[in-house]
Amino acid sequence: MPAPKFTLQKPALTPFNVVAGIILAVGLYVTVIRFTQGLAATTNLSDYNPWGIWIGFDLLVGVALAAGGYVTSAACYIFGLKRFHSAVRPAILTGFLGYALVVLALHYDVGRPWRLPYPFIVQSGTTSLLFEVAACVALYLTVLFIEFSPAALEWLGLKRARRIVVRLTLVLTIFGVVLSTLHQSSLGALFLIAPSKLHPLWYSPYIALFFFVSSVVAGLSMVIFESTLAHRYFHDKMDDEHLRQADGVALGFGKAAAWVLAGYFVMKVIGIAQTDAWSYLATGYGAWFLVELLGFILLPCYAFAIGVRDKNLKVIRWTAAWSVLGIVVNRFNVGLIAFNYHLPSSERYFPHWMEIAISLFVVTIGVVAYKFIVTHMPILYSHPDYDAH
Amino acid sequence: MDNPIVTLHDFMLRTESITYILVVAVLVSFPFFWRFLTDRDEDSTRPDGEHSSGKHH
Amino acid sequence: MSISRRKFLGWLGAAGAGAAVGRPAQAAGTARFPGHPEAFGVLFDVTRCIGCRKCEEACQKVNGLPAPERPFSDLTVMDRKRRTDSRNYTVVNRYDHVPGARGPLYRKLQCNHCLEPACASACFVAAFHKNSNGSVTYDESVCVGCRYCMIACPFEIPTYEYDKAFTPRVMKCTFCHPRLVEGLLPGCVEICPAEALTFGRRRDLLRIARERFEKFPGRYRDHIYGETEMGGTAWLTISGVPFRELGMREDLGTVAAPELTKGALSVVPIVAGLWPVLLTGIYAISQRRDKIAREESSAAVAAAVAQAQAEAKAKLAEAMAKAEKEKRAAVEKEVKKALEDAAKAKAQEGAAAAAAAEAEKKPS
Repeated sequence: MPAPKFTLQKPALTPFNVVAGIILAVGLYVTVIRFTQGLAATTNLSDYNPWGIWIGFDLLVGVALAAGGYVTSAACYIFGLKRFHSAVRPAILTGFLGYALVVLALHYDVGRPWRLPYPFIVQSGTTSLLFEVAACVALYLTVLFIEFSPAALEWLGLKRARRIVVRLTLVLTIFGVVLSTLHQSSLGALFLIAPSKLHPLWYSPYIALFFFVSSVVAGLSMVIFESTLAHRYFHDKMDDEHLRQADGVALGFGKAAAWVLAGYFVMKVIGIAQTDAWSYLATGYGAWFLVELLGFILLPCYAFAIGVRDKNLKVIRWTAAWSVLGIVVNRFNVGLIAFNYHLPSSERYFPHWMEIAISLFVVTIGVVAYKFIVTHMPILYSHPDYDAH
Repeated sequence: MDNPIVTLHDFMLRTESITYILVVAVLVSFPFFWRFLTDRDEDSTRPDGEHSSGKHH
Repeated sequence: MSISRRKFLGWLGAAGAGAAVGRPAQAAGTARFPGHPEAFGVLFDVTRCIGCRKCEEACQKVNGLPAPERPFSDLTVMDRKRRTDSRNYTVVNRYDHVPGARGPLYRKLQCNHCLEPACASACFVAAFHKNSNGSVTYDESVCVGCRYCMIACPFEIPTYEYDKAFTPRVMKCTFCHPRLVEGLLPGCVEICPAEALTFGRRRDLLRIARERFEKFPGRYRDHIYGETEMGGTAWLTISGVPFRELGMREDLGTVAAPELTKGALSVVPIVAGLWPVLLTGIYAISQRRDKIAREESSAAVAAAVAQAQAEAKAKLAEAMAKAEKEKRAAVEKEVKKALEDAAKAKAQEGAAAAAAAEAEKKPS
């Protein structure tokens, strides 16, 4: 095993450690305030704006960007694209961490977090799309935990437990795709109940479909994006299989992303036609909508296509980051920017610094956990004692 | 009927609750039926068995 | 047989209908849901409201809400537009210089108690309930505090106790549900000195509103706000000016909240039922494809091996045949040589013997 580049046993004052340390310290401080003084002390939420960035970023963006897990495992295990096998474990890991952090962030956002299991154990509001989201996120987090567990079990040397879990791979993968389809789309469908509050360019009967299809784009792009970062910082952790497949993964996922983005673009345009929202395009919100539609859907689609045709991995990798940003823009638009568009600017929401601090805190926990896991567990390489499954 | 349903909301609360119970039952029973369907196959197109053999590499 | 055909078919139909639907009136998906028939409502008449804020005061008293910073008698609080918040279930706003109005107009805000409440539809713990008396009430004992009800409400009524760390609640008008149960009027209705608020069965209130339209021509616009908005509300408003002048949205549409989410919810069983079938099918096809590819490649390998083996065997046989031939030729050569040698030796021997005999004959 190659020597780890970063270890927790060696708390050197690297720039990463310093920045992460500061964010974590501030985050802990805000956490104390949040849970002792309530939401009013830490957020700019109001009666008009009940959802801020803890929903708009941590939930909507977090879940979308954690879609790499189901997309990659479906490609490898269901569609039989074994050449993406080495990408599965990193994608499952980031998916698992993503969902775990979404659930963590929800504990900050809801008023009484200890009641989060209530929809399942006390009283179920099954007419709510949020019930579906909650049920699927809870189940999918469990599925991802089990899917991720072989890596941890190999690290711990628990061969029997690992064998049992590995036998469940296909069932878990199919469950994962079903649950992801449901809750990725339902996150969009949450807004169906508020046609009077979401701007007509974003409010669409297709919004659930938009969220689902764009989650596939997010998953594909995130896998490329993360692999780019992993190659930069954890190159020494990767085995021959991973290194041999990496370029093929980027090319294949880039091609898929270009194709899915094309479908997404077409649907968004048809969405305008269906709600006859053309006239809004000439307004300020319309300009911003066009920035999203052309700048963050059509152009990345074209750039991915160029990268794939020219076998230019650099273009593909930059486009992946761009496309990830596009997903962030879309979720912010639906959740925050185009929501409550009818209110005067004095009633609109802008996050408190403590809300941003907690969002950064949550992301930083994810990065630190990822670092710990890839330096200790067989994520970017296959464990020598086990057959790759 | 002592407690008839008069609002769409109550109707949906009832139908959706039943639907969710059915959905859970469906998701639990599918793998078992697939197993029942395929466990006499000579090849291993089964959810289990295949992956532990390491052929999947 | 004395049973007539008609009678038999009648029985069959009855049995079929009974077996198919346990709740004939409610179970059909396309059934129209009439709402609670005896539900109460309140008719708010903007033309009568004098903006005295007595309703706010009564509301605070009967609901045990915290006292305001400025007394209810202070009418200057209406200088700015207010909304409901966690300390006020109802507020009255003043609208100055409304076209077509002689003086300032006042509008009371509170929960409209929808016939199909968006908050109830949105709540994932079913904390909201539309009661048969018309009120929409909230059960704080199950509330998680997700605030989706506040997102969903088209009238922006539910509010949240953001300042409470441990027991924050959603706060909204209850239609004085506890008082209605006791047979009392809602606090605001009871106190209203101008009779701007009329309490009654909702269906009666709709009739009363139309009677006023007829009785006072020109005083009202022909629109009962809440009759159809978002599927209809228990609280109704009538006014002499367009409702948008009073900060009320006229673009809410008539579709009830549950209708908006029905389609998306119906996708759940379809995805859960068909995705596993489809995905397992794709898996089986890709496995089969792999298996055939594996078999084909192993067959090709076997054929190649067999061919190579056959070729090698043939070569060997050839080589062996050649060697045999060579060997035989060598043996034959040797034999021939030996025979020749033997013959030669014999000839020489014969010649020598003849010469000796010749020599013996000569001296005699």
